[in-house]
Amino acid sequence: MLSRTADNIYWMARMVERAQGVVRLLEAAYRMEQLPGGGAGWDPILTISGQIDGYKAKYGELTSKNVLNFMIFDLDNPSGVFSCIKAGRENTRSERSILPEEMFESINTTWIELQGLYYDSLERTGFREFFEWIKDRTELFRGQTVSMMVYDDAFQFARMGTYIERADFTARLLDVKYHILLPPDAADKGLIDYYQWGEMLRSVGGWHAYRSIYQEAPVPSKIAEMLIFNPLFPRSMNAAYSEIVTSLSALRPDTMSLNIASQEHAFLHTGTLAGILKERPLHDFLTDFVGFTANLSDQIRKDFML
Amino acid sequence: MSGNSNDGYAEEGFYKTSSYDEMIGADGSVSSAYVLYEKWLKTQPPEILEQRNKQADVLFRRMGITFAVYGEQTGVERLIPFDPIPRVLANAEWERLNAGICQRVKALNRFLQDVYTTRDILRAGVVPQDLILQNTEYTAEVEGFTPPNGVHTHISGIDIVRVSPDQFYVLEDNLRCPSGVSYMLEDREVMMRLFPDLFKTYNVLPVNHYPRELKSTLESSAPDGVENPRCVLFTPGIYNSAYFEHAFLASEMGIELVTGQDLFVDSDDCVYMRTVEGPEKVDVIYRRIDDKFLDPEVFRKDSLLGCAGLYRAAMKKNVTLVNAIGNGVCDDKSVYPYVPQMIEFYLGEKPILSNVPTYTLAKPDDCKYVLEHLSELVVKETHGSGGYGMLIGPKAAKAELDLFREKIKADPDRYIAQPTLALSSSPTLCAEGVAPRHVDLRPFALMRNPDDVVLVPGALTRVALREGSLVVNSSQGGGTKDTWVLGA
Repeated sequence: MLSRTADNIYWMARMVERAQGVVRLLEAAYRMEQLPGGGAGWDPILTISGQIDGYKAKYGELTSKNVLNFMIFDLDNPSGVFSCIKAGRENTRSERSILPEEMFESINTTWIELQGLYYDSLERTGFREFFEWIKDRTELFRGQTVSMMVYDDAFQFARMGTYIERADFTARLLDVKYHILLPPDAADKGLIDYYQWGEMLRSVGGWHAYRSIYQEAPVPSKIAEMLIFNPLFPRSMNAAYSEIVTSLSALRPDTMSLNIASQEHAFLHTGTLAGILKERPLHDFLTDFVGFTANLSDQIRKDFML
Repeated sequence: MSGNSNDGYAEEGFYKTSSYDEMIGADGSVSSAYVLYEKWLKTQPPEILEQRNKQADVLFRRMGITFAVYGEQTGVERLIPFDPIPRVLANAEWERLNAGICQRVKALNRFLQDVYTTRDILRAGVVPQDLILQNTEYTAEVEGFTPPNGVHTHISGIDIVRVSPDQFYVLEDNLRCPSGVSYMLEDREVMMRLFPDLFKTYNVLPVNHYPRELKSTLESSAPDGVENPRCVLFTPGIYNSAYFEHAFLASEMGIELVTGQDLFVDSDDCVYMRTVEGPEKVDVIYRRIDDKFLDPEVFRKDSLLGCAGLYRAAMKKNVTLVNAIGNGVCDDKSVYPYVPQMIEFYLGEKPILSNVPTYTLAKPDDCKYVLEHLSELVVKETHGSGGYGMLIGPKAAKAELDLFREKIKADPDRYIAQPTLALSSSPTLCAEGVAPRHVDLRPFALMRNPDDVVLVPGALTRVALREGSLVVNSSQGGGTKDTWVLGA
């Protein structure tokens, strides 16, 4: 397979996964805003997606309307929903000759339908409906990746794209929200915490997963544990690394990227939250993890001449 | 649609054209190829074509069957308008075209081999030496070179127009990177989906094996001694106007779609592509990129689309370029008038298909005549293509005629002129209903060796959607139709 093809397919999957991540964040903040005292959810979205400076330069004031505009429609924002779908579609289009035709048709349809949408129209038809729709469309695309692509090298690069993006996203989300989970003053702020934890779980699609795994009301330490370590939760950093390692081993058994990804996976598979916190603050661990994952992405590029 | 039924087109005075119509003769009779279609159309509810047309639009858009128009904002993708009424050719009509095109392509290939090697035709004075050797498309870099199997024109698109039941003309030859074949295939795909009942009634010969034929043409062109040649399709990239077609054909043939960055020429003068397993050798390159952008070592230095060293590799026969380098000298409009003589010179046969009578403005007599009759003629640039930079005398305003008169006087060598042909029309769905619109025809010919040319029974039909318009190019608002060749 051409190296460029591998690179395009890797980014195709990453960008589609990112679109879904962004929408999940927006959905959580949007729901939070409807609760008394819950309007502080917009700022972290810009931090998580690494776009706070770009936003401030262009919009200045932090309002829900501005953030929604920036994070959905603004093509100047490379992590906005439109930008992600656009980039995902271009990558798919570049490789349409080797992908199942359904994949280009499906992302192309999403892109065509996005063309008719703008802030005012979503206000009329409902932002929640839009978020649901993007989640559906991106899941459909990922479903086509899994159920229609031949399980060849191209498939492995698609899978790595999805799970590297997901590992990165979950870590960033946790990093920005960890103070909610583990407040330094540990004062019980009552119901609002309960809702915030709930929204955080929802933004990684983990509300039902948490209840089925832990069978109790959300507790901060368990939420963090689930997102980092739990191999059964498909958006945990551990589960994501498990998929990355599977794909890297399927590609070639002797790469540096496989070597370092396996070590990280082994740590995630055996570690505990208490173990981390004994060594250093969670924030430091997560910052390192995000950096490590970016290095892994570079190492993949080197190993496969992307 | 106006009226209450689809036979509205036949009402007095509505379906009218001054030129030859492929469905309805001057006496109102329906031509044999269209009898079944015309009968079918009359039994359909009036909105059927409109509905199916909308369905086709959604299909094409979803499949992303688009092209980019140069000069418009970059990256804007447009649909080529599709007409849901097929263009139907009787078997005998097709067989004649088939024979004529095969004959023509064989002669053109012989001509290319000749002018770059022994130049018999120039020495015999059949084609003027200066016209070829001074031609900007003449490529001295391939002098003396014979490509594998002696094939220069692996893929040709020959543009045909029709003016009467029996009179077909070749309008131009496209021997460099002819495009449009994906529309022939996708139009058929969509028609079969939209009108399944029609395909049961009609004996329409299939065209969908074209990619298989193309693949075997590519494989047969491989350098000597290569077993299981690796073929690739070389595209300028996703912003090229024909990118959809490149991706489509690569996918149908199951070969890699590569860009310049994916290829490199190593110190052994062989071409390799960069893969995740390391470099892999390439034997045949179906390149959809013009000569001048192909190799910055030899042709345009500023080309970012090409691959340095391709020319070297091709000259050493380590790789085959499809089509060969230098074909532009043969489909140049100033050389076109000599094609009938080429057929007689190389094959000793009478041309089966005629040329359009052509005035060469480099000749003083021709030039004088053309300047006096400008308002009756079509003037084209000799190196032009895509319908750009041409004058249609009868449709032009005085200012435009004056402008062209000055351009011709300033540089007569740049132009040729032809009588304005009464292009045949074919029934087409328009805002006001089914109406006659002018069409042309581009069949695609594949050559495996200089005596073996094949066509699949079909073609791209382009239609000028504006009433009375003679310009069918997609860049100028033309549309496409599925072309049916009926079984014998």
